[in-house]
Amino acid sequence: MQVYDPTAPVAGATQNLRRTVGDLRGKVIGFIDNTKPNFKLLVDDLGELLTERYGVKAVIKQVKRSVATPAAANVLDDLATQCDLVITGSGD
Amino acid sequence: MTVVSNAFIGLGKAQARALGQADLPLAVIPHPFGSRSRDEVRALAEQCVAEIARLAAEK
Amino acid sequence: MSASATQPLTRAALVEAPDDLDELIEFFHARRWSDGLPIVPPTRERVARMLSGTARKPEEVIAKIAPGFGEATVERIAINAVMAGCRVDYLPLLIAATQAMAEPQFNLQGIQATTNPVAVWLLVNGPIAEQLGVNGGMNCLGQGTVANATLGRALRLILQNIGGALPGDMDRATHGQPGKFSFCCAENEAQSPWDALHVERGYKRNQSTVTVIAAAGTHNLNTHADNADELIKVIADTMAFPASNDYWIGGEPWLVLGPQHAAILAAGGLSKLDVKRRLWEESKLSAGRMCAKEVLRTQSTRGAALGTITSETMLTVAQQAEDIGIVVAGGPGTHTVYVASFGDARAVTREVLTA
Repeated sequence: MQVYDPTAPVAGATQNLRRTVGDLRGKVIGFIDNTKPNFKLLVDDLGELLTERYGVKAVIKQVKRSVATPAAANVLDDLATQCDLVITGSGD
Repeated sequence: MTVVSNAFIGLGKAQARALGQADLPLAVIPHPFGSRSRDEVRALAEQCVAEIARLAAEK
Repeated sequence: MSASATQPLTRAALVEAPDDLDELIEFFHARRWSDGLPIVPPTRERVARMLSGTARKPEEVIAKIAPGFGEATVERIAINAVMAGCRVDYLPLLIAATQAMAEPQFNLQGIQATTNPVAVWLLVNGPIAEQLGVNGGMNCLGQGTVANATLGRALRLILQNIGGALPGDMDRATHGQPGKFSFCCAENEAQSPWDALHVERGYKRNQSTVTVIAAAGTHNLNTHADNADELIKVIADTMAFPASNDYWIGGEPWLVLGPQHAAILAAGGLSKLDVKRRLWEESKLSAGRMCAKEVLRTQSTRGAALGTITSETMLTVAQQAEDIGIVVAGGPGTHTVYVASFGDARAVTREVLTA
């Protein structure tokens, strides 16, 4: 018999937004702390290591209000204009 | 780029695909991460920073 | 097996499936198109009949459902409603619920992908509850009522099939909970001493609404307290547990007061808002009862409002008393149900339009 497929196609064709950042020297790196336990510490360590070992020019750290909510739109806009690379977190 | 604990790689990939960004780079750290000690976090950061640099340079 | 080339993407695809019912059910299981229970086959005829329950066009997009952001068209909602065993007149309620879930303050993305056991609780108010036979009385959160069982199930199938949240893949729930099969009831408005939820939220009594709520579970509060002060005290004490999301986030917990308990509170002279305020005050939890990492999380989520959080800080269960949800439902008995919340979500109410 014929039946309907109850699923929906996954939205959003790939936009290939990824850009090669290349050498991190002189770059500005942003972080969005997801507030999960230990992530702030990881962000601190990564910021330090990126600066010391990879010559990153600046590290900008932002924090979400809580883990399951998106970062505020103005925070995202600021990071998008200031940073060469923004790093987020997912998991536990 | 997203730092992801390895139990969440599937979600990270599926979510990126659903948002039209299937090529989002994922820097993977071991799961569970939140219960690690301060020293363990530092050791993981040492590994993760190299991964971040590698992914940033990847074409 | 696939849509014909001329078919627009918003229309659902017809697929060839086995004629034998047992094989057909296995066909759905194999594709992970079911919740683990047998389904009613969504044939062309059944879906067309379900679509007669609304004047909307099948291809109308009601919402995009996180985390896959698949388009919930009227037709896809109808297909999943058929599979769940819904009757034709249930469709408008599912359309309203789908709209409600997609509102940003509901945070469906968080709900669908979290490790928390979050079910979407459908709470029905107004005349449609009786028209559809949605149970708000005895065993309203249990088995045995077609509307409660199939509406909640249809919603889950919508979340899974259209939203793409398959367990173990994008649905990262550590355990999940039985309410993820179905979680739907009406308010027992006839036995409530106060305004019903939809009236509290600005609708008229004779309007029909559905409210979606991010429920982390149900907890039985069995108490023979016979006066308002005692009843408030034991309910508030039970709400305050340290591993609750509501305290570190400032959440939106709910109480399903049994009619007997509601009557005791009303006899004590308390309005619904009075009850919320008393519970909010008396359910404060000392941050010192939480683990150290939770105190840190609380600092980041609530620090802006509460200042420095120490082990002595007394945390409220919600950011404000009004955020505690209260409905009256259930039958006779000395019971109330506490529904701890996901925390990062706010309930959304939508009118059910049957025209």
